[in-house]
Amino acid sequence: MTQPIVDMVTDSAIVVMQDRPVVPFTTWISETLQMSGDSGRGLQIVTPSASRITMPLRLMLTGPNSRWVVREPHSGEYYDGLGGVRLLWDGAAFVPADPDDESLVPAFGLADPPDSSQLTLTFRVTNPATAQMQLGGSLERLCQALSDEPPRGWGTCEPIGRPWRRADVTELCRSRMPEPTWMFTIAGSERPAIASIRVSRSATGVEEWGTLVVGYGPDDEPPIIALPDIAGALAAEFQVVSMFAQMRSGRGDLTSPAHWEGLPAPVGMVVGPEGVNDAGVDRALNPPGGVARQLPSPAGPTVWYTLGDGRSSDGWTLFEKIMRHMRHGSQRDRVG
Amino acid sequence: MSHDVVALVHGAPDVQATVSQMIAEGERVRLVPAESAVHLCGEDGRPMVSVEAPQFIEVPGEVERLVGPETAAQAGTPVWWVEARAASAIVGAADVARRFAEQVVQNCGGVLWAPTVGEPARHTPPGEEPVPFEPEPPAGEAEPDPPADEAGASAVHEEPAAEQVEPAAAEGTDGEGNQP
Repeated sequence: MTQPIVDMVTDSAIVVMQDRPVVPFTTWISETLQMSGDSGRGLQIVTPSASRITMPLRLMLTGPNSRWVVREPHSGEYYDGLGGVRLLWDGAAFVPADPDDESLVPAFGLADPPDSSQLTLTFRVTNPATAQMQLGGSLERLCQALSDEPPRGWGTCEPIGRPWRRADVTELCRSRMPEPTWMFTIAGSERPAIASIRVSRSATGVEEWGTLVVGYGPDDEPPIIALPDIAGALAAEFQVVSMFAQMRSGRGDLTSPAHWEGLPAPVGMVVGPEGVNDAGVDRALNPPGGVARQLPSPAGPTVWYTLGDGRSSDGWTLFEKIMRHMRHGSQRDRVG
Repeated sequence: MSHDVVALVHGAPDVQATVSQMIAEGERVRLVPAESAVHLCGEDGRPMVSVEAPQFIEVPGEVERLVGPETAAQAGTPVWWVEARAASAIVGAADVARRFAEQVVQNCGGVLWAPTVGEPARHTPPGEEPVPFEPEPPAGEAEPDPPADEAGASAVHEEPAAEQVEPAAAEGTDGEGNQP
């Protein structure tokens, strides 16, 4: 097989240079990522500091030793475009200059955080493996609720070229089974929404793992209050295994710049029938803080937990407390 | 000079015919099929340019999201996206990639986009600091850094990103999307 043209291959990394203003997850990067994963290497994408990366690339660039490497134009230093730690070339890859030093390079913190924000929903839905099953329904529902439109396009890399049709999406995933399929969708003309979906077979059906990111301008009110109802509508129609909602400040166009944008703060989460039954319904409905609300779902007991307002990081502590509470329930049942 | 160049064209592009045309006009390359792309290889057999399979973009707003409003306005939707990438280590490869994209635009009508961003990723003034791309890669897998003068030359800003070229032959936007 002829390999994609890359700038550098070492024992531990594949390094590619990109000097585009917006660096997308192109076919070529997708193949390079595949090649790096197959060979146990990280993928390192080097850009100027003025470049931004798209949400699909950000979501895919997560493997071991994979990172966005940014060159600071004045000092010539390198840093991690998403984390801000100083990097150096160790002869085989860009690595943190000092693993014990968590301080960030000055260039990473120079810009003010944006006054726009991003809502990120990660969700996992199981579909019955029947001939009539069509994928993408849960994502369609969420896009409609959050960006006022169903997805308008989908594809396996960027640019996202094909008009959204659930039958086409289903056909591609079916043809690739039992291999999982990654794809991306774009929605929202006024309010951009981009999602990645991973479709795979599971013991109980066909699973969709989604990450949907929606951008809100400075004058837009993110739908924090409406989220339990949106989650409820989803659980009424689909078998929701889990969902997690968080907010952070970030660009409304959903690209990521090579500077600090703020930390995410949780809004809430859904735990589906498996998790609720495991912990015990009574226990699941009585968390050690926050608000629990049972969602009507034909799949079984499904609970929404409010974790915060999307601004305060206190929600992370509450999240951990609730998770401990749930685990304790399932352990007690097993012992009993 | 940028290593990526995109031809956004209205007629269905024929990569093989375009390369044949370039060869007929004296370009010293040959075409080698690769995974989902084709490579334009130099006389020594080394891949100089990879050309991705053309993608038919039917989704409004998508071109603008990735290349900006000016080029997107000229390209319109639907449009064929033909992306070529030059091997950074081979002198002259970026020129071949650009000539290829220009030829596609000339044949099919549309606009050429070559990215311009503040400073190139790999520009390191000689003597300022060790260039990270000097380590010796495993044989046959990667090429060393280009000479310093090449890196210096790449600091020069590109000309304006988009150039409108009229179709040489009027072609419809037929053809099928070719995404997997």
